[in-house]
Amino acid sequence: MSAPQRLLPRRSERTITATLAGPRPVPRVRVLRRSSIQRRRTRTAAAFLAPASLVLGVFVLYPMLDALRASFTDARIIGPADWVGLANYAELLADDRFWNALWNTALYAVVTAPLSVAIALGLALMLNRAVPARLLFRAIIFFPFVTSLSLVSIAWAFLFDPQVGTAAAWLSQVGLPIGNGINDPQWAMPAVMLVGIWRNIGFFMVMFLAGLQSIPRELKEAAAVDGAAGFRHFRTMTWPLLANTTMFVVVIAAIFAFQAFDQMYVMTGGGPFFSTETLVMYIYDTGFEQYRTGYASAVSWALVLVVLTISIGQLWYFRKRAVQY
Amino acid sequence: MRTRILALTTAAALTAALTSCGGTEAGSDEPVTISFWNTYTASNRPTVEKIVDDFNASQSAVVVEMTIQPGDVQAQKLLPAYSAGEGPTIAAIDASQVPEFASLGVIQPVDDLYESGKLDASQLPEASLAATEYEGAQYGVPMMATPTMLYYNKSLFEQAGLSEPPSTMDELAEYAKQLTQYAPGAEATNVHGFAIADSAAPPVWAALLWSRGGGVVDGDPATFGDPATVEAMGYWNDLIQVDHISPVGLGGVEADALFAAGRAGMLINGPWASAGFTEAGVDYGVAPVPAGPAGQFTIAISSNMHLNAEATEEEAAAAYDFFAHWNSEEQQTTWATSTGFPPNLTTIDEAALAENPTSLAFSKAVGARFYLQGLQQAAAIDSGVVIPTIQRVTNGEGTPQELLPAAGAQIEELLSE
Repeated sequence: MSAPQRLLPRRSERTITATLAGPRPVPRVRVLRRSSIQRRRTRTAAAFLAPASLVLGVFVLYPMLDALRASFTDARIIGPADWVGLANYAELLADDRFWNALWNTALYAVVTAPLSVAIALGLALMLNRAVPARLLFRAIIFFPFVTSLSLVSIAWAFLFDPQVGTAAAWLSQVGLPIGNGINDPQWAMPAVMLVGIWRNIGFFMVMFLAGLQSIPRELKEAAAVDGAAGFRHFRTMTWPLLANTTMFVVVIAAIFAFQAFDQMYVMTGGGPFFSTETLVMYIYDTGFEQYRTGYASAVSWALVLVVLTISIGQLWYFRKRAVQY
Repeated sequence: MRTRILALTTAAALTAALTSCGGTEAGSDEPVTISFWNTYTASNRPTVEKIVDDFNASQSAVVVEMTIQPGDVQAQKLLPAYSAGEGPTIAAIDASQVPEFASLGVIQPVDDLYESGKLDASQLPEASLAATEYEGAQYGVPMMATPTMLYYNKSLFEQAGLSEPPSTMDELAEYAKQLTQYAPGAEATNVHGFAIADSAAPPVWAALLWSRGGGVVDGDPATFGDPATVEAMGYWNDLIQVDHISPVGLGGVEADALFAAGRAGMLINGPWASAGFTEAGVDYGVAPVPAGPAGQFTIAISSNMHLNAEATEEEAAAAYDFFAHWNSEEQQTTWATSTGFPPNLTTIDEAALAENPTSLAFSKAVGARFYLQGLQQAAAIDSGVVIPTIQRVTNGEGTPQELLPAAGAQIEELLSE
């Protein structure tokens, strides 16, 4: 259906024609016209792509490749660096703190990504109906996403503080003491997970709302006529038709989760004893506290590979389920 | 064309006129602008700004342009800025970072400042000068130097029948137990005798370990795994876990908040905390951190001003003027009385400090000692080994006997890199 798909058979047709035609020259004028149209198309495409490619090249691709180069050196934040080959990666494999951070990141992702997607979907389904004050609810739920996460984390840290926190005091008054709160190794991770989920569900909800509203009315009506209602309607109609949105949200949710940093940095500092230290926090610590740029680059590339693998897996899974309507 | 010629002639005439009346002024009459980065974002900020403004107003040859930013922001930006040739003429950094910065060659020695007589080294805090010496050269000029002291809540002391601050560490422990009013599940109302922060605060734990003969590095090999450190940490850990003299896992901000809320009997911190406590209406006193069986120790903290290695001679001379201004008697009296920090100059009379009792109290500390002094691996040792180990112990994840020897070995490994 799409343009490139249409282009492919035509091209091959032409190749075949040319091959069959043997040495006889193909009519000149037509070839020239075609290729000039093609060239013009290519030029236009390139012109449209150039600004974005330039920005991506300078601010994403170049730093990534430069970090890859740095990961094979013993670079400090400034000064000369020596090539050390795979030494940083060898150190990484034997670094308990790296494995701990990877484990924490994976745990954080496994809990927060599905939970926030599920909650966002639930909210989107609710707020896609004619409920009173739904714009207000949508705004309230979306609001956390536009605030600065590090700033609201300060507020959360105060709320959850076991000794002087407001939430802690309220909870203990209604007979639900939270013990040592975010200073407790058992509760620190759930607390930062809660903030991460709270922050992202608004964004995911808006994505799902857009998805829900793009489902054609006639399909909904047809399903209703066929007698689909309630959960059945959702399972057989809405959910499959939302697949494209779900793919986008799930991929983004996983990437957000693997980039978790702000609320840990502010609320727990990665503690107690590294129990909330994520990979990005560890990169920050080695890169900007200890100034070990080379090693921090190696950890960054480990993170890139993890995220890349997961994203490819997700895309492969969802590709088979993509829908067009 | 005509206007341009006119402008040129005017400029030439003006220059000639200015040069002739400038006399000894060398070269242009443009003031030298130097940049100054520091991290005084808290209650001391207005005082820092006032001292800089006074300097800019007092003369017309030098303009100091100051950038105040949070510590972690400055830490991220400073080294990249130096390497890009955009580093500030003057940067105020913590004494613990001096070896790193000096070895990277981004700051330069200022021995000629002391030799020139603009500043008299003998009147400045010895500890700060020692902490900013690297390979025999003096790399810094004192900006702030202070010990930590023991804050105590007079009202809570009175309620517990105590009248004086503790004079020994054992007494401090005893008082802390008496002051504590603890019930499980009542975290929001419990009163703790002695709030001990384990992170994002002055390294109070180090002083507690030193007072009983333990330590972190403090020798070769590092003493963190020594039996004396194991004993010292066990002593304080029992007081925390069994007697609840402090909540577990307090950060610096939380410990201050607890004291400000009148729910901590004692706290060790620097003078910057006093403003918040006064504002919160706490009736507090300040006393030296008492002596333990192995001696009297407290944490020395110092932040010093450093000159960019790439500063021109002109900029260096301008910076020296500012260094002398900062450490003049007048400005140091302002600094001490408005912030509560002890003044940098030994020549300032106690009477001049009378209006701020905190400053006077802080100038009477005994046994101030730097934590992880002169170590390039300070950050890795502190955040990578010491803090998490203390947190493991106080959360009951292992005893000091089980955890400290391995942690000590880890520190040794970091030191050998």
